[in-house]
Amino acid sequence: MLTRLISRSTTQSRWQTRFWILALLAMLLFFIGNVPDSSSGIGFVDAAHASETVAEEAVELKGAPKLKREDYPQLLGMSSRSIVWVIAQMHLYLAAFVLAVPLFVTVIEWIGVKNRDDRYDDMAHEFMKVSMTAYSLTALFGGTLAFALFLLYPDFMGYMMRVFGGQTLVYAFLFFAESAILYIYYYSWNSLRYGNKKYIHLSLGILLNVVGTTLLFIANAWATFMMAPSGVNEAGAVTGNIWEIMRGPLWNPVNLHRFVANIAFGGAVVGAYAAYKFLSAKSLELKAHYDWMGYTANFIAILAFLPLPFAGYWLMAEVYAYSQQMGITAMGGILAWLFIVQAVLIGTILLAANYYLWSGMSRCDGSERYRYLIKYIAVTLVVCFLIWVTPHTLILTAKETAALGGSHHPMLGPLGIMPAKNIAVNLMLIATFLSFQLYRRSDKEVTVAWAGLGNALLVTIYVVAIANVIFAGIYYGYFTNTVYKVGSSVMQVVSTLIVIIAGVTIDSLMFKGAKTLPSKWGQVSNRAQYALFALPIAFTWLMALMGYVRSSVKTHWHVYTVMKDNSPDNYIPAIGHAGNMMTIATISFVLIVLFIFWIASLSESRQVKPVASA
Amino acid sequence: MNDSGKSSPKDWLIAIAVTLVVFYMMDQGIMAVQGLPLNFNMSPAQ
Repeated sequence: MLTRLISRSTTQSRWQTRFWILALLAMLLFFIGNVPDSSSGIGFVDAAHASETVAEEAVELKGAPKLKREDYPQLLGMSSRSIVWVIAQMHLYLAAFVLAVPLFVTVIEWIGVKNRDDRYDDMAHEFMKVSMTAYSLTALFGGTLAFALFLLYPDFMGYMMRVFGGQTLVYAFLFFAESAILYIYYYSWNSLRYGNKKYIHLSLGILLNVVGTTLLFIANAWATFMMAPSGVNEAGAVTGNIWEIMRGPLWNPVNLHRFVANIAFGGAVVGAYAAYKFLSAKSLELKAHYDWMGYTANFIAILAFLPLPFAGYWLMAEVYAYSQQMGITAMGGILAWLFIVQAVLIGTILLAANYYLWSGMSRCDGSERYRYLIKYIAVTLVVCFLIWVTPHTLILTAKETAALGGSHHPMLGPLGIMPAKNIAVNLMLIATFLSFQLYRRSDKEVTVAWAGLGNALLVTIYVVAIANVIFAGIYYGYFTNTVYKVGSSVMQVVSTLIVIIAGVTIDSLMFKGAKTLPSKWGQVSNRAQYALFALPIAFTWLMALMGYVRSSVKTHWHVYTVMKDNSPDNYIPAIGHAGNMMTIATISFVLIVLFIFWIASLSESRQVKPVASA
Repeated sequence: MNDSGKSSPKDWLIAIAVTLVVFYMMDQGIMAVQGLPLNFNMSPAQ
C-alpha cells in the first residue's frame, strides 16, 4: 500500500511540478518582458524611490496601458471572460479547500495530543488524505489559469506584473515551499507520531499554515488591487512601494472574509466526505467513525460560518467607504437581486446545518431534555428565512403594479429593506448557535455548584439579545434617521456575538467535571448525511455567486478607475448568463469533489491475491 | 435550560440585572463610539 501511495504521490508531484514550472516560466517571460527601466520607477527598490520623487518624475512614470478591442486575443471565438471565469472559479474552490483543511487539521491533531486520544489523530490524518488529491488539482487549475490569463489578457497581465513585480516570484517561491511542507507533513504523519517527534510534526503543520495563509493574502492583494487600487496614481503609474500597493482599503476585509469562509467551506467539503463514507460503510464500527467525523466537520463548518456575515458586513462597509458608487452597484443596482439569491443559499446552509444538529441529538438520550425547543428554533429559522428572501422592489407589469397599488407591496414592502433583513440574519445566527449549544449539552450533565446561576444567565442572555436585535432593527430602522439605522446594525451584530462568546465561555466553565452521558455513534439517520451533502453544494454556489458580485462591481474596468477594460466582455454580465456560469462551475466542482472522494477511497481498497490454480 | 441545576429566584434576579446592565451599556457605548449618542431612554440624542 505504501508503494502505491508513494507511486501516486510521485505522479501527482510530477504533474504538479510540470505545470508550475511552465506557469512560472510564463510569468517570468512576462516579468522579464516588462522589467522596468531605471526611469520607470517600478520594482521593489525603484518603486520606493519613485514614491519620494514622484513630483519631479511624474512625466516619466509609465501609466496603465490604454487598450483597444484588437489588443485582446480571441480563442475560437469564445468569450475570454467565460473561459477565465470558470477556470479561476475552479482554482479558487480547490485552493480554498486545500488551504483551509490544514488549518483545522493542525488544531484537531493538537487536540489529539492534548487528550492523548488517537482517534483525533487518525481523523486529522484522514482529512489530510482528502486534501492531498485536491492539492494536485489546485496546482493544475492554477497553472491553467495563469496560461489562460496570459494568453487572453496579455496587456492586462503585463501591467499587473509591472505593478506587483518581484512579489509574484515570492508567491511562486511560497508555492514551492507550501508543496514541500505539505508533502513532508502528510507523509511523515506516522513516523513523527509520538513523544517529542509529534511536536516536530505539529510545528510542520503550523509552518504549513503560515505559508498557506501568506499565499492566500498575496493572491488577495491582486484581486483587491483590481477593485481598489493603491500605490498608483490616477493614470495607473506606480508611485508607492509594494507594501503600499498591497495594503489597499479592501485587502484586510477580503483577507478576513476569505480566511474564515475557507475554513467553513473546507469543513463542509470534508463533512460531505464523511457522509459519503458513512453511507457506504458496512460495519457499525466504520459508521461510528464516519458519523463522528461528519459531526466534527459540521462543527468546524458552522463555527466558522457563524461570524462570516460580520466579516462580509465589514467588507461591504469598506467597499462603500472606498467608493459609494461601487457599493451602490453591488447592493442597489443590477446586482442587488443576487443578495436575495444569497439569502436563499445561506438559508439553505443554516437549515441543513440545524437539521443535521437536530438529527444528531438522537445519538444521545440526554437530548430528551432539550428536544421540545427544536420546534421553536425551526419556526424562527423559517420565518426569518422568509423575511430575508422578501425582495424590496418587485419586477412587475403595469397591470400588476396597478393591482398592487405601487411598486412595493403594502404589507411585505417594509420587510424588503435592510433593518428587517438584519433582524432576520441575526436571529437565524442566534437560533443556529442555540441548536449547536443544545447539541453540545445533550451528552452532558452539569455538576458545578453554580449550575443554576449559569443556566439562568444563559437564558437571560438569549432573551435580552433577541429583544435587543428586534428593538434595534424596528426602532432605529423604521423610526429614526438613516445614520442611526446604519449605526444600530452594529448593536445587533454585537448582541449576536455576545450570545456566541458568552455561550461558549459559560458552557466551557460549566462542563468542567461534567458527567458525560453515552452517545450512540453510527446510529444517526441517513437523512442527516444528506444534510451534510447539501452544505458544500450551497457553499460552492454561494462562493460562485458572491465572487461574481465582487468582481462585477468593477464594471468596465480591469483595475477600477485606472485601467479600462475594452474587451468585448467589458460589461456586467446579465444575471441569467452569470447564473449559468455559476452553475457550470458548481456542478464541475461537485464532480471533482466526487472524484477526489473516490481517489481517497481507492487507497483503502486492496485486491485479494488470486489463488493459483492447480 | 432545563438542566440538572435548577435556577433559584435569586439566580434569575442576578442574571437579569447583570444582562440588562451589560446590554444597556453596550448599546450606549457602541452608538457613542460611532458618534451617534443616545439619550437615557435610548432615543437618538441628535
